[in-house]
Amino acid sequence: MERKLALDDATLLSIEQPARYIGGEVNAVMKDKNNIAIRFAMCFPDIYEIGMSHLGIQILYHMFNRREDTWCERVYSPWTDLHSIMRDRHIPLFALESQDPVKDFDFLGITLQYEMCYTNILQILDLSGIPMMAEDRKDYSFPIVIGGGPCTYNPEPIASFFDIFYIGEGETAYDALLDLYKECRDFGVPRAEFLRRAAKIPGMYVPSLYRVTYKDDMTIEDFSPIGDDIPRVIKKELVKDLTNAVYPEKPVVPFIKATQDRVVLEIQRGCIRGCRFCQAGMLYRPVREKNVEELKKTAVKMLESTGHEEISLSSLSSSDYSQLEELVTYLVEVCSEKKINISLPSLRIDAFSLDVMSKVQDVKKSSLTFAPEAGSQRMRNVINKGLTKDDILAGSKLAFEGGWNKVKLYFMLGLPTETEEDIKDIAHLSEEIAELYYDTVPKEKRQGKVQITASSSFFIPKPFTPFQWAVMGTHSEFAEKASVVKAEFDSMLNRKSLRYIHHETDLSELEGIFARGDRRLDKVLLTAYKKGCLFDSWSECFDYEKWVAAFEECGISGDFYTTRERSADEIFPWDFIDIGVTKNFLRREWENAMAGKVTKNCRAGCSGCGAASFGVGVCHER
Amino acid sequence: MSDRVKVRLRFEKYGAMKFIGHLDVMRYFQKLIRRAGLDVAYSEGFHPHQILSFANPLGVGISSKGEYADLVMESVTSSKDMVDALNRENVEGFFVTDIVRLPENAPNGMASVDRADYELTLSEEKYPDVSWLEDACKALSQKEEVLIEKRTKKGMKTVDIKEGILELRCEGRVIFMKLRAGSALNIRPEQVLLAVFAQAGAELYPFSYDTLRLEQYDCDGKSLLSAGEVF
Repeated sequence: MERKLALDDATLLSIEQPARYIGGEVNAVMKDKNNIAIRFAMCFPDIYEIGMSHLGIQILYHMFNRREDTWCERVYSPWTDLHSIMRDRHIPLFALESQDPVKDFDFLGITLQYEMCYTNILQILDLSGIPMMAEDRKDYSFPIVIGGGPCTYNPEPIASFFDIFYIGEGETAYDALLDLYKECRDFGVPRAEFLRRAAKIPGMYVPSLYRVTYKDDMTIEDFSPIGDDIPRVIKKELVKDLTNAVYPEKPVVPFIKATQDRVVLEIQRGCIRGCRFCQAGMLYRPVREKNVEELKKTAVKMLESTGHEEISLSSLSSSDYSQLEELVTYLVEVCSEKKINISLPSLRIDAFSLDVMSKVQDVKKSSLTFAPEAGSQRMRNVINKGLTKDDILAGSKLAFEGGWNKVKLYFMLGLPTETEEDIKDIAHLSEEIAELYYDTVPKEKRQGKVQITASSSFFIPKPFTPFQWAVMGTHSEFAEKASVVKAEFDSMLNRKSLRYIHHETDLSELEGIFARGDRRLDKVLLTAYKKGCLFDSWSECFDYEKWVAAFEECGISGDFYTTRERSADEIFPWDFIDIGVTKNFLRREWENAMAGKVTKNCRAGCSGCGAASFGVGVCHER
Repeated sequence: MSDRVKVRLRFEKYGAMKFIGHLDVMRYFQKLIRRAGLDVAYSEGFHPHQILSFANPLGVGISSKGEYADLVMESVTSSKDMVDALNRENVEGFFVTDIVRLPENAPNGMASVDRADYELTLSEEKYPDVSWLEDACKALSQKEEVLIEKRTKKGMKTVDIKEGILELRCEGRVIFMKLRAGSALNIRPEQVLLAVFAQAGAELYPFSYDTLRLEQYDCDGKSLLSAGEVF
């Protein structure tokens, strides 16, 4: 039987990329809804091409659909063209598989990958016909709206819109939640009582069951559960055995080209490095590796089930995976036989990685990537980035000898304690690499100029990092810093071999506000959405003026969240979450940063961050 | 190298898949062929690709019973085996009907295609009365020239497409057209439909009809499938 689409031909033929909205892809899961107890709509609040590239959704989609009583379907943000049509004609937002309205589902799960998608969450609720405020959803006639993903480690700015946040890795606690839901709904237990019971499942945060009070200076006075039976602290969920955890051997394959149009093989979770600006590095501790033999099998199965012509490895720091050489050697062999491309993540540049790269890439076209993050060694010590200038120069030299002549460098501006000398060193380091090329490669062997591209983003302090206490720069300070760096690049001898680009300043400022924001920001989001803010992470849609107006209208100053000094004993909106890494450790690391003291990575020596309490991973190796 | 085999496959595209554009259909087939485990030949170089080409792109929104792709194989089993392997991996909306082996020197589908049959069905809702349609089709077929407005780089231009309309008839609300197709002269069915409506002085509403490509032929009027043999 042919599926009936939610949108008619006339609509589909008058919008960009109609294939975003029709479902029916390879490995999409169809079920008979008459035999289903729980309908779960899994949403990535951005366009299809971005959302379909996300590994987490594919994992959960596969996990939910293993349950016989549950049908999990996908939902993405309609692009602005369809958004207007749906609003004008009152077409309700639908899920891709069944094309049924999202409003009729039992759950709407929304993954929160970056702060700048927050207005898109409101769009999803709005177009679905679901009240935006959780308090207005009083019975089971509306789905339970649940959030997951990295932004749930400070869910407070969007707390009013969600019934539940799932704190931690999604593989562990959903079965308990779905079983509870089914029982409550079928036995007529009211929605509010279901949420109360759900709040007792490990990892579940039900924001309506917590009360926040503020001091005169606007900082938090108290953050407490309403009722003794509701947990005061919520510990993140963590997969203990990553090798045997659920993984999508048959991921959905989009028709249109997604950002990630390839098999993605997760090799480990977490990172041993402990860079002080990096949120993921703290959130996903401790590092857990997957067994290499299992990975080999999974890779082959996924390639066979999708027909993808490319595979890439996923982790925060692939070079730290202890079996990398064995895995990559195997993949190179299998893939060359099957004519499959391997896209390597940013590996540490050494003899091994260059050898592999030369086998799988066209050296003349590919580039080397380094992420020194800061220009001077002093600054790199502050941020605890282990990479030294010698590492970069030695890696570059090897690569130049191997025929490469393109180098990409990533930096941040606005880091704590940063001086003008530190940021000018971005240009000096780039210049040194260029000089090294001309010293290393004799004239007759050069393929034109060396091309060095340095790009900088602006540092945004994030919760659960040692820099959560840091003052963030204003957008005019950012712009000033970027122009200093630019001028320094222009004064370099080899400036024609160098290129410098930087991120947008306005967007970074807003991201900074929401990253460390609190519950009072919900009205700013509602106001901004009503003013038309949507797809804020898309430069063609982002409208800074509307945001400024929204803050003004709500009488809220963004500076409170960004440029304010935070004291050591301030209660943060996210302090009720326990990620394993303790606040004491983070504070110690903040002080080490101020003293320019480097901390060892997890394998070189344990620093007692607290993640060992999970009883698994690198903390318990050997 | 020398024992490589050229094959041609015919497939249907229908339902929701009519919204998949040509480039994405090509990507879909590359992945389909891998999933089906066919022993397809690849080009040389760092990024080897399947030696696969499509006869004639189909516009978004149009369904088809006669799409063609040519493929070079390292080895083949039988037509039936290969058709089955592909259809096991196909999604609803793509269906492979035939595979034939082409002679070594056969021109590819893109070079061979010369004409195509279409069936257009007008919406009942938008056009309750189509009694005028048959006369309009007849009148247009008998005209010496069929002038249409065509958008070019230099603005609108009037062109005669008479030479490109090989057959035009209708039954009820269904119009059948045999049109020239391919690189030499390519007439799109909506261009002819516009001319039919203009002939009758009727207004053609947007998205008011379905288009189905039925089959594609070479310059002798033989189906593109007939260039090869079942194996």
